Amino acid sequence: MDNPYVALLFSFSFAIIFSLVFVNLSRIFGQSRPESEKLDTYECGAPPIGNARTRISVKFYMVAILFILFDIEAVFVYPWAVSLRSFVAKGMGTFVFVEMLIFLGMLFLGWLYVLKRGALKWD
Amino acid sequence: MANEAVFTLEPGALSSLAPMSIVLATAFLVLLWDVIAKPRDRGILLGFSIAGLALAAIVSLILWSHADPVSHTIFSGRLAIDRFSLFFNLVFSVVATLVLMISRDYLIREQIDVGEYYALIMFSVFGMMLLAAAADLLMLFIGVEAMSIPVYVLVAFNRSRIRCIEGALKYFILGAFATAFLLYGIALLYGQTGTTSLADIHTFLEGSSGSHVLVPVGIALMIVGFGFKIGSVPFHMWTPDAYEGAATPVTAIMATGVKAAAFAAIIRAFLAFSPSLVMFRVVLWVIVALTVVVGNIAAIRQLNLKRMLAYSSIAHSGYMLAALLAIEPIWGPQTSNAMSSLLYYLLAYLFMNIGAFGVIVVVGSRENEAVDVRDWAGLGFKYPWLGAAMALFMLSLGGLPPTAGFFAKFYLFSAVVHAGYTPLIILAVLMSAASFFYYLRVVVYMYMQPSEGACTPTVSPLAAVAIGVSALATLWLGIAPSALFPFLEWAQRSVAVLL
Repeated sequence: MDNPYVALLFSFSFAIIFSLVFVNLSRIFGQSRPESEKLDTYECGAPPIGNARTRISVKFYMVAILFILFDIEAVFVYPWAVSLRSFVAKGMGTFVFVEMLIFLGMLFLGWLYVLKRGALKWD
Repeated sequence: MANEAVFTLEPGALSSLAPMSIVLATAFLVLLWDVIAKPRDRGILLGFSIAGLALAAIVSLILWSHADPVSHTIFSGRLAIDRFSLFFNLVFSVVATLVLMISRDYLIREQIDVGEYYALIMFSVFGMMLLAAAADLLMLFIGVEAMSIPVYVLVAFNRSRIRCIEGALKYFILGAFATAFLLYGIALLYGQTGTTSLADIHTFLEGSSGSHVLVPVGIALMIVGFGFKIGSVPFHMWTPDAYEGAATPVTAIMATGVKAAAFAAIIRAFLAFSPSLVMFRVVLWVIVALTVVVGNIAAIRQLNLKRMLAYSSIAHSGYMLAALLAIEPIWGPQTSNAMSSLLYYLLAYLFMNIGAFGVIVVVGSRENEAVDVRDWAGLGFKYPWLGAAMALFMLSLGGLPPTAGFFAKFYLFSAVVHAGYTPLIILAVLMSAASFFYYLRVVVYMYMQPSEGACTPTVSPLAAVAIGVSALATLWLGIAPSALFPFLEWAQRSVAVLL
């Protein structure tokens, strides 16, 4: 049992076995009385209107994807902010600070492009 | 050493980044200039881009002549700014300049002359430069992505054409898969060796007894990822559709710049993996044989010129991959010869390919893209210069002396023969003889068919210069491969730093 991967093997096996066992237990012993109301689409309790597969304005997509882009930016800034102090202690503070400024500067240029191109204009 | 977060900023590190920084800055400038100043004539953006590329090329040339004869890395071994990467910087600058020059008419004709096109080309050139300089698997991955993502967008650029969308979708989805393979390979190699630095991986592999299971798996997955990027069989399925669908100038940059960058990364990576490459000899042999055979045989059936050139580029990938078989576990003159002949091949290949695509661009019009070879009937008499240029590019792609294609094939094949792969090279030579059928078909249609072709070429001065330069370079590399302009010596000295 020296091999460290044995633990991993156990973990995987348990995950597979338990998921199969529980799903099937509830299928075998659970009661199932389907009716039209139950099988309908669940939409916060309100009766669904129309088909979900309609055309949606590309504006939603633009806002969503730009949100994700700048959200990721924040994800990159957090670890930088946390570890900046240790870099300063090692005398690398200026370098690491400027690096982040370059990164943010490029994102700023991208944001400027998005704004000027009118990707965030709703009308 | 990899666990410690120690970064050093070597003296001169930032100035050696200059070519990349210039290209990136130009890309941003072009992007913002277009949306802020809203120039009515996008010619100024073209001028900016070409000026940026020219500056990057000049700086690369200066850095090249001052570079140490040994490889030196910056940012704690992440990037290698050596003669090898500077050589490729120069190659990419030339490729992008020529492609931009043939793009202009096409963009205006198709009414897609927007500023983003120029910016995307520049962004992808930045990615190529990063890829050629990557001395670390993670930088390599970032380079692949920085190069590929703009190209995915560029393939879909002509969105009013349905073929364009189809090709882009196929390229994007398969490209994403290939990237995943590459990343998975990198992860496994890191898992086994504990480092992502190519130099450290080389040291590890030299010292290892060969019992590390994850190393071959990692290398195999990376071969899949790279094989996709260069379009080698059996990872070539996307190539004809993406090449046919994309705007012709974009096809030109995919067939030359992207491929050259991928080969630069492959050379660096394979030299690092060389102690473990012995077990991949058979795999590589089979990939080369399949690529050469399938590429050439499939091209014979194509009457569509872009599809024909797509299959021809697959075949050329096969020839170039053969050079990798000559890498020895311990690098010697044989490795050096093979690698420098590979660089020479890339150089020759890019001129004749961009030239061919350039002629296709100017022969086509809005109504008729003139990609069907039957539309070219009699073109050689109506437009003698255009016909002569196209004939030259076709002969060079086939490998007839005295063109660049012949010497490229000659050097490369003899390097591989010296490594002891004579049967494979016999196959490659036979296949390249077969390739004359489809290359010469274009010439036959241009000169030996009654003039009933429906195409109406319009040659602008810009495109004429680009095609002329390509034609001259194709001849020059063929007639005087070393005397007038020491391309081969450049290649040799550029490779020398790696070994």
